[in-house]
Amino acid sequence: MTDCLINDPAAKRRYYRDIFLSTGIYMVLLLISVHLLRRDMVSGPWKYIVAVMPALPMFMVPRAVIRSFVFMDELQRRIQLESLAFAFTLTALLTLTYGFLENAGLPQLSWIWVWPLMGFLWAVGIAVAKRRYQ
Amino acid sequence: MKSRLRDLRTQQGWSQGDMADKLAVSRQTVNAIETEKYDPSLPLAFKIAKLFGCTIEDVFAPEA
Repeated sequence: MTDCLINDPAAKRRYYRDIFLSTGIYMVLLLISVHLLRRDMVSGPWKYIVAVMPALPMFMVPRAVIRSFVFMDELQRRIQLESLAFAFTLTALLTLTYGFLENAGLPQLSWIWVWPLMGFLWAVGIAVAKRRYQ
Repeated sequence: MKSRLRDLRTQQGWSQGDMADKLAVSRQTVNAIETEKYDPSLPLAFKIAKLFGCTIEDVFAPEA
């Protein structure tokens, strides 16, 4: 999401390497995890370890995103700040509002939808902020 | 803030891309400063002035 704002080609390559590597490992671990859990091949505390296993490589993503900020210029950092503020506050507002609606009977949604929502709003925020400075 | 950056750049025969490379910023940033949609930080304003061998006041002026 921050790749379009990185100027330095070497930093961009490093960013893509980190993202693709972590996503690749994530997909492999997800398949293994789902396979083991669906067939009841693990039990006890191992169940939790196997369930959380796919998330581990994704810890590389925050590192890649934070590192990418170093290679942005001042306007690009401002665009990121505005888009992140937009995504952060709107996600908080929407999830809180939906939480209240669940009390009124709407179906309970999984927490797993919070990140796609925030990611989508982040992308919208970048597009809007970039347009403002064009 | 009023900016004379476009005039100064074209006088030198530089493209926005050339200017961006010289300042180590993106082309979008050069364009945003030229179109007065973004006011540069003081360090970047000094860098721009130094590039043209003039003072910050020669490049930028407060809005009337």
